[in-house]
Amino acid sequence: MKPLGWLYRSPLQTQLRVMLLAAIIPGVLILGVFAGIREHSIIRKNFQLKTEELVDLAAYNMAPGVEFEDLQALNEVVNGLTRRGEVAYVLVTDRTGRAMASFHPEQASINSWKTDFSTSPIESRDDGRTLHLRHRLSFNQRFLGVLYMGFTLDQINAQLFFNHLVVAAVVLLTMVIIAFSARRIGRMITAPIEALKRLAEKLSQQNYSSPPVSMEAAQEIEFLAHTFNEMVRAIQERQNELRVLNQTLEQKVTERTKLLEIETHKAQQSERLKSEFLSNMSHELRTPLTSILAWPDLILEHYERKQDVMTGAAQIKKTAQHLLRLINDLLDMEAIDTGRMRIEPVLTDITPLVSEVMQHMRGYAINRDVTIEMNLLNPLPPLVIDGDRLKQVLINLLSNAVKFSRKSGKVELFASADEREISIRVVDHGVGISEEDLKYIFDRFRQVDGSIRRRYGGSGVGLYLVKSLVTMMGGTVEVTSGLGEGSCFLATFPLPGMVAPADLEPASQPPEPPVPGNEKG
Amino acid sequence: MDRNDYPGPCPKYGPFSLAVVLLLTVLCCAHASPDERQFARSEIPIPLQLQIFLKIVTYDRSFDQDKPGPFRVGVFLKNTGEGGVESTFRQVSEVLSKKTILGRPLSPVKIVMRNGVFPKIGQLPDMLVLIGNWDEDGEKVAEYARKKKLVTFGSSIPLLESGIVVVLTLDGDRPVIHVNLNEARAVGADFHANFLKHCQVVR
Repeated sequence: MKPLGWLYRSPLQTQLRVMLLAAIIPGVLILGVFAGIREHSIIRKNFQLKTEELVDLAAYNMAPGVEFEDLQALNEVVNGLTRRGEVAYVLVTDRTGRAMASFHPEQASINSWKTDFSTSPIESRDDGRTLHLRHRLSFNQRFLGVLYMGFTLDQINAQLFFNHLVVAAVVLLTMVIIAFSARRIGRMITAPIEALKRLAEKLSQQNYSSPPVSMEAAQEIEFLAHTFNEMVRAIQERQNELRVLNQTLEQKVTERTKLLEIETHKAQQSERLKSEFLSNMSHELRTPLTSILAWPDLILEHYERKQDVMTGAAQIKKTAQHLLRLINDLLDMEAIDTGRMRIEPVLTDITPLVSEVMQHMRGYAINRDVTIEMNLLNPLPPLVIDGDRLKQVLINLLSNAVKFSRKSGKVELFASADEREISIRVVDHGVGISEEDLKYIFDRFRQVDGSIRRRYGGSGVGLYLVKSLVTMMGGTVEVTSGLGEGSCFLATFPLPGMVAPADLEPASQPPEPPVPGNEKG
Repeated sequence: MDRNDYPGPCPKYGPFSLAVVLLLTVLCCAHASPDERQFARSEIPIPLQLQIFLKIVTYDRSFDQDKPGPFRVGVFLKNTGEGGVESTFRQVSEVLSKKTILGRPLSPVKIVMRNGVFPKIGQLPDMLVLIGNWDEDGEKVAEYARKKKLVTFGSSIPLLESGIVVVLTLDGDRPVIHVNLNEARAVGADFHANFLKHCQVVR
């Protein structure tokens, strides 16, 4: 255990107070003692000098009296001396030791003096209560006698006692002042530290809203307070930033949650569309298969009637081709989705290609009691394009237009070219598309609504293929329509450069006519 | 220094000593004055001697200043030289007529010794002053004074040996007071010790 362990564990203010007192009070005590001793010494020395001077003067004046045995003169001097309060006794003797004048001679105790005189004419001794002085009396170098004088030290001792009391009082007062000052100094030094401590306590309780500490203190503590304030300010800023960040994070989480909900909804919708598509496609595949399976039974039952056999075979072929195209569309869609669809552009004369497609679709339109017309508004320049895919696009657009036209309706194809592009517009006057459905008309698996699908059939893949193929060939496709007002599909292909007719190659064979009721969506 | 009081710490030379020193200084100055040289070349002039003697009387404790009447100064005249006794006495009378001693007026009494015999004196003087050459008859005067208890004053060393109490001489230019202490006590004079310490005392 340390000897001053309690001091080390005390508050800083107490430590400072104790240290100041420990440093100053011994000094004050030493100074007080020194002052007392010095005062004692000075007063005794002054008293001795004064009495010696008095004795010397008295001896000077008494010497003639002794020399001429003038007792009256001696007594005059003795009487003068006895008026001084501090004179205890006076004794004047001649050279034989005979008393000539005296005052309280019984106190003189001349026997206590040495018989021999020192070299100095005056000698002294002190018994604590009386200062005894002895002076030789001489006249014209001759020894005449001795003057004995005693001075009481009562007064001087009383004065010294009073002086010591004053010194002690001053020391005591100084110690009180020092104690008071030490307390003030301790407070002055520790007050800023206390303020910092209180602020630190508040901070430890997560209270960061405390005002900064302002103080006038020593440079080091001011610097500490400044640093502390900076730290608190930094913490407050960090807290604010954290609060803002939390708010932003909450906002982001909310937004992300909403997006997630939307995406989830989309995924669910996509899943639903897929299910609908599969259901739809199953129906589309099962219907022709049922037809194909029914015809062989009829043929076997009526094989003797050639006409029926021919009709049956033709129906089987037709239904099988429909199935084949349906499957081809699915494969194309799958090729587009997986990125395996290849476009092979070659320089192609568009006009005969369009004419060929019109010719191909004309039979289908007639079967539907729909008139189909081609309007070439100006000569079309040749274009570097995949002719087969362009045919596929035009067949899809025309078959859709025919399918959704009313009986005795009309489908028109307008083709034109300007300096920048070739435009092909397919217009029908059929059922049209609502504004709401126009947003999804080119989406995969989409069909306008269930009633249309049930009425007109179709897998919902056709317009998706149109949009994908036109885009892959560098063109665009748009649709304008209104419910009951028919539809207008516009496909445009940019012209990067004109090509001479001599360089033209014959277009590939047009594809088979589209499957009736393939799509509008 | 005051006779009756001791002042304590003070300069060693009190008023008494200063007065004596002043007296000796006056003697020196007066001796140098040319107007006084006519009385005696080898001695202190008579008027000045009288002044000094009158001053010395005041240091005698036996001097009764309260005694009624004038202070009578007996003047012994003999062989006074030029001008004769009468002339000298006139001089002395003029000097004394202008003086007082501690408030008492002075009255000169002429005493002339004829054929070695003192004349009868009706009323005794308070002091005796010897003027002129009294070396041969000094003892007679001393004896007379001893009988009459009178303090005597002279101006030559042989007079001191004859028994004259106070003698005033010159040591070069410095005046010296000689006191015959035994004779002084014999005639009842009581000189203060502090006065005596400035004098040449003969016992």
